[in-house]
Amino acid sequence: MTTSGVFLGVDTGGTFTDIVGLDAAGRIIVRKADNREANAAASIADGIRALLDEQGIAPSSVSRLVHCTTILGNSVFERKGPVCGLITTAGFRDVLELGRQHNPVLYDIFWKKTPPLVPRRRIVEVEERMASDGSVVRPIDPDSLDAAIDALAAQGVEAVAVCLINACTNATHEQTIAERLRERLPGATISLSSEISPEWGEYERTSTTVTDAFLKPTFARYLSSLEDRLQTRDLVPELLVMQSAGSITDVEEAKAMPVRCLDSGPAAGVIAAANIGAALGFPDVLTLEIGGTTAKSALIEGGEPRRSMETEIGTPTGSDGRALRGGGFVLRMPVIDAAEVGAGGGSIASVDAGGSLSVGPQGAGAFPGPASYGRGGARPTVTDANLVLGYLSETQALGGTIRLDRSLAEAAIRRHVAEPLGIDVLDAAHAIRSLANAIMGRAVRTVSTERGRDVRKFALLAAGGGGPGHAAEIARVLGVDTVIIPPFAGLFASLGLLLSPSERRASRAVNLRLRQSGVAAELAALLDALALDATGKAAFEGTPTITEEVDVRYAGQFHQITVPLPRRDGAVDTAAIREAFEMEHERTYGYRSPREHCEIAAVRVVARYPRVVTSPNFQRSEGGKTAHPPRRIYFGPRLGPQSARVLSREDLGEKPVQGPIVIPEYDTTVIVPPDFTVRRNAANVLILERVKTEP
Amino acid sequence: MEPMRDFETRSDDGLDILTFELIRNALSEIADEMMTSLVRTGRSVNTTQALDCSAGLADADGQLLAQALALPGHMGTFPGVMRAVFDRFGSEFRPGDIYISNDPFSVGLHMPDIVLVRPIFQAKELAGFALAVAHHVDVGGMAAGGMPTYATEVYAEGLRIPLVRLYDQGRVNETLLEIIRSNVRVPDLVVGDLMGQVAACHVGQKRLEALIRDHGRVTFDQATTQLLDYAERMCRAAIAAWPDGSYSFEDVVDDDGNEAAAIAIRGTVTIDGDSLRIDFSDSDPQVKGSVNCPIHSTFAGALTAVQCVLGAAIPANAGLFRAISVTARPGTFVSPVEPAATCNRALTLARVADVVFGALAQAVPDRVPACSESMTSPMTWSTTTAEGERLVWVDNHISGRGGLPTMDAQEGIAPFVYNANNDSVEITEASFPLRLERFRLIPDSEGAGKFRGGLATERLYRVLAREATLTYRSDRHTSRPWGLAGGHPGRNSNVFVTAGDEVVQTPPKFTRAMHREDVLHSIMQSGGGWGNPLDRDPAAVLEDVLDEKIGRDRARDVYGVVISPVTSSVDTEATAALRAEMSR
Repeated sequence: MTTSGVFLGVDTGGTFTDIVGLDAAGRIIVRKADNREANAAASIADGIRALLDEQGIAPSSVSRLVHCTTILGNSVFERKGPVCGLITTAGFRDVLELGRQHNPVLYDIFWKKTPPLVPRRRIVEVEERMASDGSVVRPIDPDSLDAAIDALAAQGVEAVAVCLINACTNATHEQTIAERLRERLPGATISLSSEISPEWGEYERTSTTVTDAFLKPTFARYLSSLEDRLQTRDLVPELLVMQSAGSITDVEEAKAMPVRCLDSGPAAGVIAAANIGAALGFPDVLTLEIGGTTAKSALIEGGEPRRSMETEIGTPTGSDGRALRGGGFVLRMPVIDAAEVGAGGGSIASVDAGGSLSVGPQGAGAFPGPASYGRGGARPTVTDANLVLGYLSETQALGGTIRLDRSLAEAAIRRHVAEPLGIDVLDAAHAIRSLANAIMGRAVRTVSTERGRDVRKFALLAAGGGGPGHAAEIARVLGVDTVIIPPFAGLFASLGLLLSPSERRASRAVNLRLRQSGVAAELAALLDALALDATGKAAFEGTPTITEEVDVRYAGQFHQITVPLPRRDGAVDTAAIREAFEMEHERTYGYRSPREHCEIAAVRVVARYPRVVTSPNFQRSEGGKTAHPPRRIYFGPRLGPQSARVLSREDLGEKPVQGPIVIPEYDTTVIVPPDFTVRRNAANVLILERVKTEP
Repeated sequence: MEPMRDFETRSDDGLDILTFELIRNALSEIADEMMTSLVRTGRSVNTTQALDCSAGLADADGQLLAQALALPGHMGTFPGVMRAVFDRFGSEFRPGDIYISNDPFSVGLHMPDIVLVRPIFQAKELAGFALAVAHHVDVGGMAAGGMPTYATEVYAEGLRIPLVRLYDQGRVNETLLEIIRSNVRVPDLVVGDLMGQVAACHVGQKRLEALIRDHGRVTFDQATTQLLDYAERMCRAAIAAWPDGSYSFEDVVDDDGNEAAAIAIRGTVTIDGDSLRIDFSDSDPQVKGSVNCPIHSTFAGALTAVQCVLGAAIPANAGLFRAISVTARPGTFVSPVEPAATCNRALTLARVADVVFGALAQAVPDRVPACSESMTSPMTWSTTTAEGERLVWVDNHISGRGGLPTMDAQEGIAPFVYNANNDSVEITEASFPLRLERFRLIPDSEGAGKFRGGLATERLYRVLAREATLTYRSDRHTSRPWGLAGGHPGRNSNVFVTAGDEVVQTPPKFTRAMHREDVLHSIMQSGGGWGNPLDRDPAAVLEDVLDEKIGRDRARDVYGVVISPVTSSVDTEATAALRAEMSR
């Protein structure tokens, strides 16, 4: 395909900015840029120019740039942000600090909550009240409002969150407060819960709105400075930003609702997986993206990633690698439903007093990094185990720059794992790798088995720097037979940026019994109004596809299932809603309950604009065929140590070749175990298949 | 490069470390998955929002292998539940069976807690058990919610289900379901939650079966034996490091819901080498009211306190229990005999934990917190809508924790024994004709200390229904959560009902009719403080003052910290002088 101009996807992480471009001929170009400069915007602009210059492309021909960044996540994690305030309903000052009051861990009397982003002194109450049905119980008392704003002003508040009880059903009080804030506190940014997250649950909505307020000034400044920097380097593309739901939006909306962009990196990778999987004839895919300290997984069915309406950030990880839900900040907003565990290449292995081995959740980070980096890290990591076992090699530089030292890896494993357990170094390294695989596999299980899906019907798509090296063994344990490894696996999130659709959403909390009279008409009217909201603002190119969805539950349930809403000749079909809900309930939880009432908790309209990039050409040169000596790799007690061939992607074709094979690439290393075959299809994707042999 | 060789990672017992870790992690994962399934498919607010339910896995001998991230007060009864199941069914376990009971004198919880146990078979052999318990929003009886504060016999508390088969080799016992349906006020919610428990047991069966198939039965048995031994070893090593001796402590439950007289729990913890014995035989005799605590529940309370002091690193399984014994003389209110009323036993279970904490504070003072609001205060609202629909709403008031030897209490965290969620204000209002007008921390209410207790919380409800019934259980109206090491006690609880122009201070436990515009104002106890308040870091006092958790007067009068009204900073000199004078 050809495009009008060059499209760029730019994924800024902690140490690197990955840039993936699609030139006018549909060719993919890539560059990993060091984030050396303190100013991230400058690193990005310079990195792009370096890539363009290298390829002989004029800066002015870049027409579109889609961006995702960890800057938002980092500012929450490091708590670097503006002075924030919160305005709430009288009587509810402590909703944020009290949360749901649950402990994420048992028997740990010394457990500490993550302190809220707004301290109590900057949470102020206003006399007002909405009822559950949206009627006004008590109008806003203007004096109490002014006093509240004065209290925030006196503390130098720069960003204000407003979250009133029941504002999800009637936003007018929040809007009145916003108007008054604009008059009396003109410099401050404003985040209204009724706009950010208009759904039930005061704690979840407050938490989401406060997080938005915390990000707003910083992100607005960052995006403006990025636009400026690009301009000074003669780059004037349409700038778009990735959202956690896997869609992209324009700068204006990103500045208005930064919280929706908070967790966009993983979302980009999943979108890439959905597109590539579908294009390859694998519409049902489980993704496995392994990075430095975490592994993430998402479920894609029929080419569509599963989405969720709630997530949690800053969640501590338990000793078994599982996220301790309830320990971080809950965000109620559309996200790709991904599971994350605290095990990646840099995760540290250790042995406790009782002689029990664990991997993660502590990671060695980029500095000092794994012991084998030779940067002073003394604790053994998964990467060190991989090196000792032969999966990684001293002669291959990671990311083109970092050289590994095997003797340092061995020393660390000996001291911290092998000696405490009384086993030798190889045994210890194998135990570390296998335990890491088990923990990583848990992320996959969470999004599949725990959602009632049979993993055996899916292909596992491996990405991230560590994914292609672990995926086949994890697939074997899970019972998955096919692993697909796309080109640019290590730069996968950036590729996803090029492939994402633009999207706008509008939603509203309701509380409707499906069988109530007049519900169909009420829903239809509500949806028509929401559709105007979603498409009314400055639109993207093309005609949007409108999707309408409703969140449904059995009366009494708290967890809802989102189902698409079918219309027949414009009319809402409530029987079809019920059927779609019960079908999904049965699939996920194993039964349906025909005699109970169904309730609708929220309605939503999604306007999705056509993808600009549909099917790029994934051909890529890895430097052609070269002869490498074979590597000795230890594949575990059953398969034993074996001599593995070292090949490049170009060496492979449609004909399956039996492992063991190692395929070192610019951004990752692919491992094909002895019980798998590998082939490369026309789209340059590696397909690993498990050989079912009789022992 | 050194030569590769085939190897196996073996521990002393012959099982490789890796397989052991895989099976150990898988077991906790299965328990958590059972819990997830129960929470997501349940119907009542108590299961889906408050998370008042639990799940666990036992081996073929009924020994607990793993438990979910749920309620220690439930899970501590699992050993007793499994004993009851073995006593009742002996060797008659069959694939597809699910056993059910809520009998306080058999499985040993209280009647609203219905327990399901499913034997798990793999290759036609008994391989283990899945357990799922949920606190149901109604079990019939004299008051909605199954916790009538004025009950005096088990027969009045609701439908007692003896240990019988809910499923017989895969076939549901329709007769029993119909009996349950016709005895409870909200049959859809109760049966919906029960089916959630069935789903959880089903998940346990499927996942454990697959796990054993993957590893083989011999390896699985080896791993579980090793897992229990590992927990026992760690537990014994920790106890051995504590000073030998007998440590006694006494605490009270304010009243039994019938008579306004305090009831005492007296416990003695004996540390003897690497084992620990706890005896409650000197406690008061069983009472007429419903706070009697069945022995399995007493065990759960005592065990939870010991586990908190041991720390979270030791796996919570039957191996850990081996080093700990709990006894109480039958006929005491911590080991009642039929037909004692027990529906409010959770409060006593929590006080049992307090007594163990108080005793252990003498042995290992650096590991024990001051007294917390040890049990939530549950209320049940019941009404009938204009359309004739019966509504039952259960809510928990959660308040303050005690200060710790090294840090302040976290504000408003659920009790150790009862790790529940609160109900969302908005969802409560959307589900039941109530308006919550207040849910917040109460300033100046903490148990003062070097490390202070958590503030008390208050909840205020206005009734919007024409008429509703309210059952409420609270405690610490007269007694107070104690401090440690010179820390002050927390404040006591108070509950007020406003009906018309009249404001009544209620007893701790009550059932009453409420009418439109009546108000319930619930103020629950705060946490006790740890250490002398005069040793508290003045900077921490200042932070509390700036956050309006503590007033300037209290900072001065209780903590001896003088805060300058002009600069809002600590007046160091004045503080030193005041503290010197106060210490005299």
